[in-house]
Amino acid sequence: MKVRANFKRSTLRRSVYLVATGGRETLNVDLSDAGVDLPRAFDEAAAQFGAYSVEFQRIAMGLKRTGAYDTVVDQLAAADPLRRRRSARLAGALRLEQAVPWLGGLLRATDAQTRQAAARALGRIGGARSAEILLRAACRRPMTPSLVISLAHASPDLFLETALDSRPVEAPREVVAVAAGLRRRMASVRPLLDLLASGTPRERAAARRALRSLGVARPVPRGMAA
Amino acid sequence: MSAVARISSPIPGSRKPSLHEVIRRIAVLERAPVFFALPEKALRALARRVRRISVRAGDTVVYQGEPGDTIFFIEHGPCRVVLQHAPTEVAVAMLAEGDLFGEGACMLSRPQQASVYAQSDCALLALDRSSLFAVLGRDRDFLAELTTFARQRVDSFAAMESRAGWGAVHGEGSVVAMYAPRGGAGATCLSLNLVGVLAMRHPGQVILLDLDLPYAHAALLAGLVPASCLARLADAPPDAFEELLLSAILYHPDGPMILAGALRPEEADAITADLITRALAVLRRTFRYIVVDLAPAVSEPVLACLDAAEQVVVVTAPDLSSVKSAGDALQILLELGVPDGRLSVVLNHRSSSAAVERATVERLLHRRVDVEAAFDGARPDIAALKGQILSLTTQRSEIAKAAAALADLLETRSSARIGGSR
Repeated sequence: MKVRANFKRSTLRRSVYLVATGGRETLNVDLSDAGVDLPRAFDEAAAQFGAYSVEFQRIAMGLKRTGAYDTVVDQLAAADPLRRRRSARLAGALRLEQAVPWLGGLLRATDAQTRQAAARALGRIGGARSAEILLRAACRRPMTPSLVISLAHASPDLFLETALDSRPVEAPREVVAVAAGLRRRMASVRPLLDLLASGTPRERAAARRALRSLGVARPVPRGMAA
Repeated sequence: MSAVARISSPIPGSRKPSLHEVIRRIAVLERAPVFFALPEKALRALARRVRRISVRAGDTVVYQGEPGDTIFFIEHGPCRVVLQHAPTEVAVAMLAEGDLFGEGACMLSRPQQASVYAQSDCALLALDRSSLFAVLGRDRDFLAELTTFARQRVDSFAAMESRAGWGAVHGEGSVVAMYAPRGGAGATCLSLNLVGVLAMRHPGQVILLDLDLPYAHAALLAGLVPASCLARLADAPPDAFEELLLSAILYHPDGPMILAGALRPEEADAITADLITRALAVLRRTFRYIVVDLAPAVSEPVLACLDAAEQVVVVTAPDLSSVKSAGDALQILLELGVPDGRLSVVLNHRSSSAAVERATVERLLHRRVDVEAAFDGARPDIAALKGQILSLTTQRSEIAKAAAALADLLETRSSARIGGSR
């Protein structure tokens, strides 16, 4: 069995490579085959070529030609939670932007594992749309590590800073602050300092933690930040 | 200088933009380099996805060395691009409305090359990589052009940093006006090659100002993608004009520099005699030679250039119509008071068989032809497709030889003028 699985994985890796380098146009994969870790194969390709490279775009197109793209999105609404989770992983690995609204729906699932898989997928796909959906989910549910990490991954430049500065407050600022700390961008320092000065005790604690991870060990007085 | 950005706007994307807002965003996107070539449908899709961000004066938008995944379009307010090398920092560009930044980190997956500060209160549109690829992922040509633009700007900022002290190298520069009274005489090609020769002799001190309006294509022929142009500086505040002008300059990898007059035909109207005079004043302080490629029309801007020029080169093709036009132009120039010693004539053969012989041309113009460029076959066209300048890559080509001869003539006259004035 193990030899068979290895053989399948190797064949898939070769096919993905062929499509990525332009040697073949379509990528035929069996999405229902649980014996092959498809997301892992796509992750490897993304790491090798870059998730926004021409090569990776070719893989996406190769899958689209076979209709696999639509299947992935369809299965996000499957009744079986295992299938939904698997599709969410695939959508994330393929950086499938079209799946973002459906993944947003999965964030409301009763099953915690499905919510987690959807959050991770949104974090990988990234961009303002994914980050906004994660931020909305943070408004509904208590802060979970997977949600905050995914928010940090998904947020594009100046997204979290904008959310921290927005008036009236439209997002749980302690979640945004922790995500900003994980993202480690100097542009977050000023909004975090402001939160430290004017936030609730929970927000101040989150801001202090985030500033520490940004290397601002001692809160700087407002006038000194300039 | 502030160490952090202070940004205020609602959570991006949380509300659908109104139709009015979409139209306003499209107006910003279609002014940006590379993006202006996109069809309306793509611009509309992008406009729905961008986030509007307000930044206060003095705040930092992007930090040098940090990763970046977003392209920022300037809706209003100038932004200063600064390269930091402790203990000093060099301002390499001043970006204004319609410009963009952050494309290097976004497209080339490299850390931000420079920090960008808001010079005054700014409004920006932010387009993240995920949204860009979701809308334009299939448009490989566009993505390739955007990547080329990003690479070009990275190179140009690096070059600008190394040439930070160029202004102190010499005194007032010399303006050379290239004038073809009839289009199609090859004045732009000759101007580019002249700039190539002069740039080889005086690295970092030669610029081509492309005023062959309304269709100024010198940058395109040199394989460069302009991000800004002289026309866009028409409303620039006086104290920022010099910085904005110098940051609009394009750098060819082989040395010459180019300043586009206008990026779009309709922008040509913004170029006035006053704007040209101000621009030339700045360029003369900065460069040794400013070669100006002029449009055939005898308009106010063209006359302002001719007034400011130390040397006027009239380019003509060997056909009756061109020669007649050149004769008329020479007559006008003499009547305008341009000294005979500052006029030169170049006879450029654009086809293998000349309709009018050199002797006939000289007889019709009542003066000798100073430089003759023999027919160069398809070489200039092929070079343009490759973005090459023949005087830098193929010095044995006819056009390169003519450019070298013209450069010799201009340099001799320029040194004689300086000697005489002493």
